[in-house]
Amino acid sequence: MAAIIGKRETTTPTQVGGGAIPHTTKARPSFFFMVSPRGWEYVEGEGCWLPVLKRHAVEPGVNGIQQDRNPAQAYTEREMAGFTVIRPEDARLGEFRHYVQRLPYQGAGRYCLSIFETAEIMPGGRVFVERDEAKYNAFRRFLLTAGIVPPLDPRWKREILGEHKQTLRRKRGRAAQAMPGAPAHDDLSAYAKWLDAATAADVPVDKPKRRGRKAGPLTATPEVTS
Amino acid sequence: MAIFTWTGNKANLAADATDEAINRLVHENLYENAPIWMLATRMGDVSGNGAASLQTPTLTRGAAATAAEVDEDTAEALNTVTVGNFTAAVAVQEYGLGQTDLARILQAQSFDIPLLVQLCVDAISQRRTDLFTTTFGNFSTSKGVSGTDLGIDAMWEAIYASQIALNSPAGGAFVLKPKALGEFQESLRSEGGAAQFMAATQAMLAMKGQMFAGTFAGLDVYTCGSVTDDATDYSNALIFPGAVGYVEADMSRLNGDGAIPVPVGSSIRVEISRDASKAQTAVYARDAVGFAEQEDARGVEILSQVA
Repeated sequence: MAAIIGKRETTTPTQVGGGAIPHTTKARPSFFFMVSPRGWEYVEGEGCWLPVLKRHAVEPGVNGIQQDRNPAQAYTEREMAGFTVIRPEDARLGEFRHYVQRLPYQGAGRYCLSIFETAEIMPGGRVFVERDEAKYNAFRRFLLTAGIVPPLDPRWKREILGEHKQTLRRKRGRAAQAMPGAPAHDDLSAYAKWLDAATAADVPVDKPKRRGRKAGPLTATPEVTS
Repeated sequence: MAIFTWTGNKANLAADATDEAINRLVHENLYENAPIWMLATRMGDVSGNGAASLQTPTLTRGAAATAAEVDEDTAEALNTVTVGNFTAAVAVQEYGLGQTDLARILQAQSFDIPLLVQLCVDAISQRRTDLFTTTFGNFSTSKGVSGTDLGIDAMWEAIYASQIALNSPAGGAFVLKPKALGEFQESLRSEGGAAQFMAATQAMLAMKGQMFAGTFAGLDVYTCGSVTDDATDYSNALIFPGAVGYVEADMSRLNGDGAIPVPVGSSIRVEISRDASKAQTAVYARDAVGFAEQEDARGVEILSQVA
């Protein structure tokens, strides 16, 4: 029998100031992350390509999710469609396991965020959600280095870069028509610089760790007892 | 909203008329405002299927014929009619509105039952829009840069991606968060391209509903507050017919259990409840519906920043 393990649903929410998300804020259903084969982006701050994590809502009536919110069928459908599904219950996720948190919510339905986000209720009831980008990117790196998400295929990279080059051409045309010193020139040079860096960069790779070796013979000889 | 008055004197006829009035209210409020979820394709009804899910095959489209073999002995290559499938699951969505007798006594004008029915059906329609827009995140193709305003580049990139996938994109529609629409209009003004945008006229609004914002490069542009986000980016979309589908379940199979009968084929059921012990009158609406991404190539997600 499989062990029944509870999901990570924080009882002490990460929203600053405590309380519950007011009902005037739209509900956010639970979700799981998934990565499309062509879902990659160059992250400037990290200097490498990282997978884009899309969210599949676990909401009854959406994309095959039934009334009991069981995502099993959605997992299979997404995998058949070529996505890599990051199952929240996957033991390989380690500290990131059960990455969805459910916050106290005054309205009907659920209000869920990933563990990389915090919600803050402002005076007047407006809710600001902020993501810890460093932690989020660390998770994306981990997915690659742990082998949960397959590395970026160079052909996808070429196609994605091809689309960016098309945008660069459009920006170049726009800058050619603009007055000297117009924002279009700055926009063009910033984009060209970004695209150069993206072209040169690759996915992050963990350097193989050197294994410490104990002193002693290089090969172990099994003891033979008679 | 229509107003109904029954002046008959037979109790059963009065009851019939009330049922008809409520059902007509349901229909009028659900469909007549041209809600944006109607951009999805109705795929069928699962009532009586024994399961909440409907697995529907996707039709092979856009294929070209090949030259016949001259010897007439070689069998013609047979193409399959379907090229995959998608699953949509029906789930019950519900909304209830009630008021106590004290509230009804105290307020200047009592909220009558038709108004409560209208509000409940509006909530159901809104819920359908929410379910519809939640499917956008599933499209494997995303355009726009995370954390940036929606600009004319992202719109063109979405059109370009659709062109590659569909050969000739026609009949598509952009569904943009109101903030994203504002950013796009700002981009149109500052970066050029205003000539490709045709703002909605009175006649177009009358035809396409109040969410219609205009056309861009021959494609409709709608604005919708239900567009979801992941705290960083809104999940706007460019969708074509066949991108998103929905299934329903016929609530008329429940007729005869004492509640207001619903017309055959209706997935929405409205009930009026009176609880004397709580001195409360309430209206409940339930809708058996499910939306799903239908054909991945027919939709493109367009990202734009939340803050």
